[in-house]
Amino acid sequence: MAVSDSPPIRVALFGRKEIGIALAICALTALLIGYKVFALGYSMASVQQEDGYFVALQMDVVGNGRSCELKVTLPVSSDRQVIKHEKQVAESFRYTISPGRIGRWYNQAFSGKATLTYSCLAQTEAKRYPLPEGADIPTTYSLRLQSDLGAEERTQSTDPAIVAKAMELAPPGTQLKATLERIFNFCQRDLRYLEIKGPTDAVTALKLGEASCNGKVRLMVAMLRAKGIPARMANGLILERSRKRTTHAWVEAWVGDSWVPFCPTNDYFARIPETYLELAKGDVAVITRSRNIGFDWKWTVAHQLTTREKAVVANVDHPLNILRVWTTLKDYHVSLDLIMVILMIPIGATVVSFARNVVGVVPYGTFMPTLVAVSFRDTGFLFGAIMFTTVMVVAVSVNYLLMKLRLLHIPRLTIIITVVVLSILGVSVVCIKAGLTSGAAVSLFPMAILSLTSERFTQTMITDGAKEAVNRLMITFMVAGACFVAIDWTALQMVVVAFPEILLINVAINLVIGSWTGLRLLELRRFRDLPPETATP
Amino acid sequence: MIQRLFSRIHPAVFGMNRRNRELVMTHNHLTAIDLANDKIGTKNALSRAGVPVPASIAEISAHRDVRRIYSKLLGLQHGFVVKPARGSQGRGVTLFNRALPNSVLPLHGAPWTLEEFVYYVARILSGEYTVCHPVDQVIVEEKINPDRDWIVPGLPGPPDLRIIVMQGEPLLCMARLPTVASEGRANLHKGGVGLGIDLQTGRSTNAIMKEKRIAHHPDSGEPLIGVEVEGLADCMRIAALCATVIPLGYMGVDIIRDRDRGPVVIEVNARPGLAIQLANRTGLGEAMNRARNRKGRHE
Repeated sequence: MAVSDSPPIRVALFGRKEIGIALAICALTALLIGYKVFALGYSMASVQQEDGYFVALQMDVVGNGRSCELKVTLPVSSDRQVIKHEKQVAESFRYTISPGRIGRWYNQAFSGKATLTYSCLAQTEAKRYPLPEGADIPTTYSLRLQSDLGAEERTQSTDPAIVAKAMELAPPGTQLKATLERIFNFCQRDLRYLEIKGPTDAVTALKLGEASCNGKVRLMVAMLRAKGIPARMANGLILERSRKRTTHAWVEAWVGDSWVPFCPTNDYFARIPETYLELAKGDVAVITRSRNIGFDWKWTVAHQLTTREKAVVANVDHPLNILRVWTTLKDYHVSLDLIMVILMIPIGATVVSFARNVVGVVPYGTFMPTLVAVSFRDTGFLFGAIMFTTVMVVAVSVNYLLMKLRLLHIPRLTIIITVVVLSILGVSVVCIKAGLTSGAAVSLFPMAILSLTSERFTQTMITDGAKEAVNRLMITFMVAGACFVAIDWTALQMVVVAFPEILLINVAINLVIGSWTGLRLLELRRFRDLPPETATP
Repeated sequence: MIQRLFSRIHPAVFGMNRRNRELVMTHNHLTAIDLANDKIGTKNALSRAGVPVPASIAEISAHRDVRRIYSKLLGLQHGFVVKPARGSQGRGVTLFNRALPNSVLPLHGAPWTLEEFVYYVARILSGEYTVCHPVDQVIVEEKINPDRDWIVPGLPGPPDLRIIVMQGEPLLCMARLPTVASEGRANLHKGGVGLGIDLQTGRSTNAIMKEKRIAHHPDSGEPLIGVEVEGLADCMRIAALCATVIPLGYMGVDIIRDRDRGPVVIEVNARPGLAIQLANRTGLGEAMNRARNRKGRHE
């Protein structure tokens, strides 16, 4: 029997049994999801992630023994902004909220220092408002709009110059929409923007031909009122990650039967961006206070992503629902965010399994990249990378020194863990001082794992050279990056949170990867010079 | 087209996935793997069956034994080797020339103080060189007198022979030659040379270094192709004998030639590496096919 007559090597790339089980698991998963969607009414729309801003006002007060009062116009929930999780710190002050949503801190005889705060989670939406085509400016309005038509101290709508300008821009007979457009365009384009501290009234703004946001707003309000359109000032915050003292102002005009926002400063015509949080209506100060105190304040805004818990459990009351994961856990006060992190870990592990068995790279530690990626979720990728590198450098140097001291294995690792913890603390403090606030989130950084990695790194450095050690560290870091992309993918998170049974598919995927006997990608390169199957007939 | 792609990603060459699934997991029972990983158990078993192995001097399993055993080492004239019983890839193995009352002379490098030696043994015992095992034992064995000129002359260290044994049959063979780059060790990923040996003719057919084909030894310039391995039949017989003692269906047997004793088995491996395919330019699958055909012819 000659060699060339031998039967060709016929092996399946995957195990037949494993593929079968994997398919069965996928079918089961589809069944479960189908049951939830069609029988219990679960839907993806109901598990969108909640996007919001943490807004905090911090007020530092120094009193001299006399009565002390602070008032802040608090944000109100409306059709485009939702305010929740409100908190305040009053210290020795009495805190009340008036029906008109004015927060009031009061102390009859206050001396010394106090820090008073108000914070909330604000969820805002961008919104566009349709303007009626072909409508004229109404001639009569209900009584409650009268105050938004008359002149005010700084909004001199009866001033001849303002009336003349308004008439010039929109002669009598101009329709409502055109009037709004022309007056808006004038205030937005022709009136130059100038950063001025303090208020500017409408007449001054017109005279100077330039103004900051409040001047532009007062002039626009005054001209609209001069044209007989009810208008008022709106005060609020621009939600961007910052610490600041200034608020922003824009215009609201009564169109049809609702208030429509216009921002001549940032060019939003009949629309409002997601980042605007309204605090007060009318030409009022957001913060008012007693005169006889030392006072400083700042607004802090931070973007926040939280899962809308209510939405996830919304459909769970169905009597046939055997998958009440959320209600059950929530009744036990388990944080939804924690559950989500835990649910994403197997998916991160799949990334590692793919990297090792299909690509063929070997990072340090088995699931170390996954755990590092989980910690990146808290710290953000940039900060996480800084943290990872710093900790590795520190831990490896310390390990190297400890080896010289001839310390035994486990005590040495314990010392490294200690040093790792201290350096994480150090890096956090440095980052916070440098303004990188996300650095504070270090709680989940896998310290024990990092210590073990530094140990493996040191050993690899000694046995295989620094180049190989650094190479593998880079690989570890890259795989961690890939894990991070997977577990930080919001859409995937949402699907898994709504349908945890998706993780069964994770099992199926690994049944397939685990039975794959083909060459890994790197092996394709390694063995590229070898002749392929020569026994093929 | 699909056929070509298929043979590209699944040729007769075995990758890690296929080796682990179709060879290690199929043919090697966990208890046998555990036995192969334990050098003490392996050595005892092999030596009972008459396989030549390096003579044991001592086994250390507790820190307090180190000083007692050290007195044994003081008298040795021909040197000794210290290794972790469950180490892998030569990690933690050190060769020593002599033990003196206050210092130990390693084969390479400056003398060690007694404290350094004790610390080194302690590191092995605490499992530092061991994979998947919290603690370890230390083997001290006689340094054999290796034949450096066994395969080709003028090597910077002793060569060894790796034979893959598949279900009792020697399947593939590779000689590993040290280089200056590999610091005198017969270790391929440190830069040693791998020589593919044809089991029928006993001659080398191909040579690789750092996974690239070469024709001459990088240090001595000695030709590497067509070199005859003296006593290969003996080595194959010993390798096959190992397979009867250690019940692994797929194993690697590492053999060094001692100037006085001839071939000596220094290690058996339950997961031998895949570079042997590159050295022989033959996939494991093809080697298995050939072996099947040979068997077919004999019957």
